[in-house]
Amino acid sequence: MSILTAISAFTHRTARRPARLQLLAYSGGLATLLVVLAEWIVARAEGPPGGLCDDDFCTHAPPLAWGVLGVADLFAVAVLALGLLVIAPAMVAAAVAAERRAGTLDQLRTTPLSPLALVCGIVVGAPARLYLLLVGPLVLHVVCGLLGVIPADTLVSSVSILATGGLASVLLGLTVALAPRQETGGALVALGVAAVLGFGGFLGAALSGEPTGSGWAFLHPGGALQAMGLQHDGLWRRLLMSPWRLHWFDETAYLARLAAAPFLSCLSSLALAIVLAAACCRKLAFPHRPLLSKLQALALFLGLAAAALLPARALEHSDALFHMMVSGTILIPVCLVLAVFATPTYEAWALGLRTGGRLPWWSDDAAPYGLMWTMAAAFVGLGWAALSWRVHGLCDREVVVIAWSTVLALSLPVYVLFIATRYPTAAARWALGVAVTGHLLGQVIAIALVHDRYRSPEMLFVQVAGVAGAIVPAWVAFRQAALRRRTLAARST
Amino acid sequence: MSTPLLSCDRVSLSYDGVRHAVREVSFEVHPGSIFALVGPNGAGKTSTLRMLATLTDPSAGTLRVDGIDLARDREAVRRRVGYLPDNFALYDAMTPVDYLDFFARCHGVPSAERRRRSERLLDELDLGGKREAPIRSLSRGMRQRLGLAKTLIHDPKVLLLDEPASALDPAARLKLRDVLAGLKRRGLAIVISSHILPDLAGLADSVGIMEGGRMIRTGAIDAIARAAKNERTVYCIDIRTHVDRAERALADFGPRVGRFERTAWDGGAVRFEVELEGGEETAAELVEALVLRGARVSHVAPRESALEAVYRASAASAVA
Repeated sequence: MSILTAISAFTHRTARRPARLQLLAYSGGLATLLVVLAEWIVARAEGPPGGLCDDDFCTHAPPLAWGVLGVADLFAVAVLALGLLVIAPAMVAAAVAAERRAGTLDQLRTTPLSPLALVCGIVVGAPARLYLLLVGPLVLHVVCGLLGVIPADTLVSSVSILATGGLASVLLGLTVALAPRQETGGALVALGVAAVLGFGGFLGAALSGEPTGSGWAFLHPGGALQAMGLQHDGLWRRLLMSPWRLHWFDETAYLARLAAAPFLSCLSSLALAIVLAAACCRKLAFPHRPLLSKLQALALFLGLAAAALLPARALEHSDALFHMMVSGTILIPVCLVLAVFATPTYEAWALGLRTGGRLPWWSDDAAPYGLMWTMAAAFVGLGWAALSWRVHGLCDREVVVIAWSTVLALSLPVYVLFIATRYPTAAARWALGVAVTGHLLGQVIAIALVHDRYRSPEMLFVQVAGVAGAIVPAWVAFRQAALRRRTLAARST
Repeated sequence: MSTPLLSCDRVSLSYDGVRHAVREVSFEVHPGSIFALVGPNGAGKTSTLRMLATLTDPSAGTLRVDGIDLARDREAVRRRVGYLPDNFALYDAMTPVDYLDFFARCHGVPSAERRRRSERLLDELDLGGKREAPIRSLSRGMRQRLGLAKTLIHDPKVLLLDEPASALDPAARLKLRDVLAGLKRRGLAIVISSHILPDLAGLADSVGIMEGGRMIRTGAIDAIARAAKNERTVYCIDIRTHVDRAERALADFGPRVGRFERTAWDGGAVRFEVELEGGEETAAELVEALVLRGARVSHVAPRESALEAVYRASAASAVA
């Protein structure tokens, strides 16, 4: 069944023809409102955009003139970003979670629509009303580009970022709604997706406004949009950057990173969208399987690890080990979450055990040991490549840090398998997840203290954490082995 | 005998390799016939229907719809199957017309045909007056009929109905019976799962009795009833006069009368519930014996339908 059929059906369900015309009219009203608001602001503006600055840093930046369309364009991009990158994914997540809870998703799965057609239908159809509302701001943005209010490359970049970033974001919303084993509350899922994406947008925007962090601005389309706007000396730069920071833009490396961000953002968003779409299709076709295949989880982790580590290559830094630790700390939860969603349920794991043969690590029914150890090895390899890590001349505490971190990384799959297979209810899994998170946090803090030459007051904490780092995974592994024995014994009985 | 529209050959479903939701179930359903899948809760009826509806993959066995192997071409199977789950969830904010239109689009029904089919189904299922009302305002019976209309919107050859009559009032059940009889006459192969046997009696042509994931008995209802003829059937016999003589006659009748129980009856008669072996012939002989003893018999009827008797006998033998 064609993808167009699905898109047509879902769009028609959400916004029927009379509603479409009504929404387009509202959308025109919204664009007009943005222009009126811009005009109101410009009429009351005193001085040039960004204000006057008479210190040495600002003397070379000539003041700009206010423009109504320029300000309206800023609003239009903000509205488009908010709609496509935050609200649309939340709407998709809420709609799919509600369908799962009501049982209607199963009914859709009995239609001849392929999983890919269903995914396309949902990501286009569920927020169709919002998309129609955003037509006006988009037209305003394009008109500003065509009239020369913003540079042509800014128009092309912004539309590309919004399209690819929006696609990746709605697919993320869909993935989050499909991920839990049990049906979940739609509003809660939607709020979670909106909060994560909104926070990501703010973080990306903040990173792009700072030379050191701008290398990571592409990680969220919001950051890439900000980088795109800051590239040229225009209203965007003057209104969003303090006058005393304008000298940063004399730095060629910073400008180069800003210029690269939109392209990298589109590329990473497309890659993310492809992996997430494949995961969603898989989950819709085979709901009993884990959300992610092992290879999909590995691909996502590799992408995120590369995105976290490779930009650091361009930075001047003296402590590669410290950067690895920071990146590792950030990537531990990512690794855990991806692995949890690639780990089988107890029933599937038990079926794999009872069938007898040794499963390859990429099998859906296999435990996540191979996957997570491959992730850890890939992280070390990437770190090595990105940071030109010095092997020679490691001091004792660096050796301890590396050894402890290695033990921690190797023990992670034990927790994931335990959480996924041991407890049947979501509440129990969450409770154990929180406990494991607390333990891992303690381990990370202890490792950081060792790295920073801990003194006597912290000594006790490090010692306790060291003992816990050995006992806790051993106890969990022991309990898992007991479960494994019972599972195999059930086959023989 | 026509080619079966639906065939299920040694199908099993297990999630962990030890416990089986369905174990080696086999049956066939022919065009224009109704197959009743009966059994207690947890017997595996819904799991079987979900496999037939392509929602769950069987662990073993072969499922064919209209000769198409489900494992090879799901899309073709889905075009031929209409599935009504037990919860028949609907989109409450939509109207019945929009709801049917949406699923017709999902099934790729041509635009010229969509409206016509929706209107026809709504009229046939007595929902014509509610076509523009929000679904949330419909009664449970109406919602159930709308769910049925949805399963028919793409003109399927096979209909899978999971507990379609549960929680319906008697009038709605009678209406559903009429609708199903009409669909049967149109040549559809229908599988109904239910644990309410009177709903299926007189409607189903064949029956599959499930217990603990296994199909403990399957075949045409008449054939099974004949096979179970030697099983005891409970008859209700109302006696108006000489109740004590009737009681003695029952006791003296011989081994073909099993347990009998005297129950109060406020219509001027006393009711006996009697376990009889040999079906209607034995019942006739027993009435004759009662009349000869001077008892006045006002009513004789089996307490349960043929389907109920088949189910009771099968369940009893499974337990044994």
